Amino acid sequence: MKLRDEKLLVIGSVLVFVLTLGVLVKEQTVEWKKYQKQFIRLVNEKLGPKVAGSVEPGLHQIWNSRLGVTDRCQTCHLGIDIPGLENEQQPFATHPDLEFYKKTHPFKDFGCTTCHDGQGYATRVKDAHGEVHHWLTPMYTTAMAREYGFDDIGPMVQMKCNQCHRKDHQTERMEAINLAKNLVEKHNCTICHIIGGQGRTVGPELTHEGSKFPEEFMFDRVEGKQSILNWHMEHFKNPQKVSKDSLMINFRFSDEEARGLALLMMSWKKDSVAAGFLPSPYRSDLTKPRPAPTIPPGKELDGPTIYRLKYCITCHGEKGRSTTGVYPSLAGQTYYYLVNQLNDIKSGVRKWRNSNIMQPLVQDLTDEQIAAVSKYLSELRRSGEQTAQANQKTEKRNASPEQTQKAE
Amino acid sequence: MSRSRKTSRSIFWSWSPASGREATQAVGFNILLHWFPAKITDRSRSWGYSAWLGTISLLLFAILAITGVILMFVYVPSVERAYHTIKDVEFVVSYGWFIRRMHRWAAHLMVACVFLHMIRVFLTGAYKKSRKNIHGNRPLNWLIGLALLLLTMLLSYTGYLLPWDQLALWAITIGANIARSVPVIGEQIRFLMQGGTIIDQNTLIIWYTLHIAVLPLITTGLIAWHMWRIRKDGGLAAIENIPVEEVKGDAIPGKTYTLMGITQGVRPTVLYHRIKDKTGLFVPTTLHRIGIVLLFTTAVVMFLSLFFSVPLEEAASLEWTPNPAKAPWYFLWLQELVTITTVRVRGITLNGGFVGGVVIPGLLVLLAAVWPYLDRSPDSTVGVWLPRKRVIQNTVFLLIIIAIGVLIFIGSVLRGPNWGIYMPWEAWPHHPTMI
Repeated sequence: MKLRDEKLLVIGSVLVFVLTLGVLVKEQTVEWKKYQKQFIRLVNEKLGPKVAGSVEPGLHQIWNSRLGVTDRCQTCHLGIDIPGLENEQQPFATHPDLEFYKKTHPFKDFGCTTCHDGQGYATRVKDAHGEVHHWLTPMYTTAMAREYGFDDIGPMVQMKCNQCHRKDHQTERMEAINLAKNLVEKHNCTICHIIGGQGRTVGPELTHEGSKFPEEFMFDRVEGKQSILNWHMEHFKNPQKVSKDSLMINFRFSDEEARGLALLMMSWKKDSVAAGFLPSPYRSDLTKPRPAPTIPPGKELDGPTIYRLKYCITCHGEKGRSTTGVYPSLAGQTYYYLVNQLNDIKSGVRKWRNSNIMQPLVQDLTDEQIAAVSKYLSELRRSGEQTAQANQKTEKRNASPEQTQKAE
Repeated sequence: MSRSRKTSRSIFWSWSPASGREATQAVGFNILLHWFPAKITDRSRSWGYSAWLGTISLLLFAILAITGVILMFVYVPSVERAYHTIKDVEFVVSYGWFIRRMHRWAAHLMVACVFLHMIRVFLTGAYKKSRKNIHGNRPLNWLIGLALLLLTMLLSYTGYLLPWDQLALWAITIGANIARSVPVIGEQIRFLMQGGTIIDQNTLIIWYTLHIAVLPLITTGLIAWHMWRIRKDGGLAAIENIPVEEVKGDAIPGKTYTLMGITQGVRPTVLYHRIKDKTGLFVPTTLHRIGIVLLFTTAVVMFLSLFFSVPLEEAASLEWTPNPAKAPWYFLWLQELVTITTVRVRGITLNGGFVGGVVIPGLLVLLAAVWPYLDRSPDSTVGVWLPRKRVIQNTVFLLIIIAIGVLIFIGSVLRGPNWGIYMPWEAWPHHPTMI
């Protein structure tokens, strides 16, 4: 008995000793130490011992509380600001276009995650790249970009760029976002959406669209990747496919346009950026109230021009043919009906459907202009489908006039 | 002893024991070591009777105190900083990952060990008052133990919030909402728990203070009382049913018993009782056992910490809920009970929070508290594993324990998104992500 206890004591002591050694070994053999050794060897070989000697061993951290950055990425990515390593494998390569970024976004101020996302705190490869459970913003990778149809991470990173560059009208090197900003301007999204305090509430507010979480979206009709970014892409391509009862117009955006707009949505985040880091001076803001579209002289009574410049075209479609079932096509509509409706909308008598959207757009139309645009629309030809629909409607009306009128 | 060793010892020691008896006495003079008696029967010391679960729990508590104080050097109890400091501990503080893992694993183990300790005490009837042991008050010590079980769970639960991640926030939300289901004063209880109507900075600082100061102090006090009471109750209940023989001993020569008024004459017969079991002096037998338990407990905690990471989820956010959101495992059986007792009748939902989360566990604790006073089983069952005469109550007790175990298993292993049942080999539905 006594002997057994003593044996157990010895076994226990050995166990604790071995485990202690294990802990010491694990702490001393962390991944980043291996990478640092490799890097110094590489630099010694390529750039000579002088440069190699200037590499400081140990943890490297960029801390910028104003940007909320605690980045330890450069513990392994030691070569990002050393020219001459452009063609090396990661984590040792020089940052592409080093001179530009050194000048505009110095790494020691901006860190890495400000643009690339990922888990800056981490010092292990998988954790740092955010490819682990319980990290919401993984680093952008080429594989991830390809999943969304991009060639490289450039457009993905622009989501992050635009968090600071939101107020820029157009920004150098942000092609995808620039394209989207042009579309926002062209289609005047604020007719239906509030963006930064401007606009109307037909659709949801978009000011902080990028700060929403997955549980605020329905994914059951989204094809492909179940992510918010993909939700937006699919939704821009066909709103009614993703969100059945959506009032949004199907603008028939191309894949490229839909991708750009989705990136733009994701970039509109609530996180505020320290003022000192905002690009300066502010350039024209997309969401600023823009001057009401003026009708060019000589075209005051031109039906097609009024139809386009007063944004009727946005919902009622090219040549009066609406692209969705949500908004009525106006091509071939009776002249007097159109005049009456326009007058009622203008005076505020008509309140149903989307009168509140249309009222501000038509309020400065003169009687002559109303007549002109109505004439233009009434003379347009309907599509075959629309004729069939109209006939059906007429039949219905003949069947039970009261009911249909009520419904309308 | 060599001269050099003698010299080195003389720096720290004024005396060294010449025999086991002297060493044992020395222990008795030491405040830290006097908890154990000078002599202990082999049965009390055996692995099979107590499994040393109480000592293991105490050692885990010590590990928790030490690692906890180390963590306090880094941790900041603020909703802005807490999560980031844990990330620092995990990634850049030297050995931080190890200290944090030890703290977490020791906490889980302590809850488990205290729980198992209670099961052991019940199954051996060690909480009972017996006729032989008139000066003891084992039922009182059972009550202290019960309080220590609750305190252990509270300590663990308050620590759960401190990393300020999603796991913490939503586990605490479940607890707070169960508390809210208490009729009339539920809302006030929740307000008190949270220091407000939502879980935020106030909650964090309240739970932090409880975790690092209030609860450990109370627990330390109760542990001391608990262990002191074991001595005052005559040692472990294991000895109650060991036969005792009456032995005629010789009077110690030179003592004048007449003068002391004990007996007449100079050479009386001295009678004393001797337990018919082998006993051993504290040094070395019990000390060895304590050493073994200490080493193996430490080794298990170190092994778990070295090879198994502990969770740190996304930073706490009231904007979105992890699906499924689970309470810590030792409260998962309550969450399951809440699920089971939530009944929908014709569109009306009867919330099980009160029945499953308050009434049933409350009744169980109450029953456990009064049971020593209701238990009428004979004295021959005290300190004996699963005696035949207590078969019914032990069976009922074990069934309750098994039921709790099954509920914990369902909650922790089988429950998936939307609180649905998923077998371990079934994949959970994909969760949409941001990017």
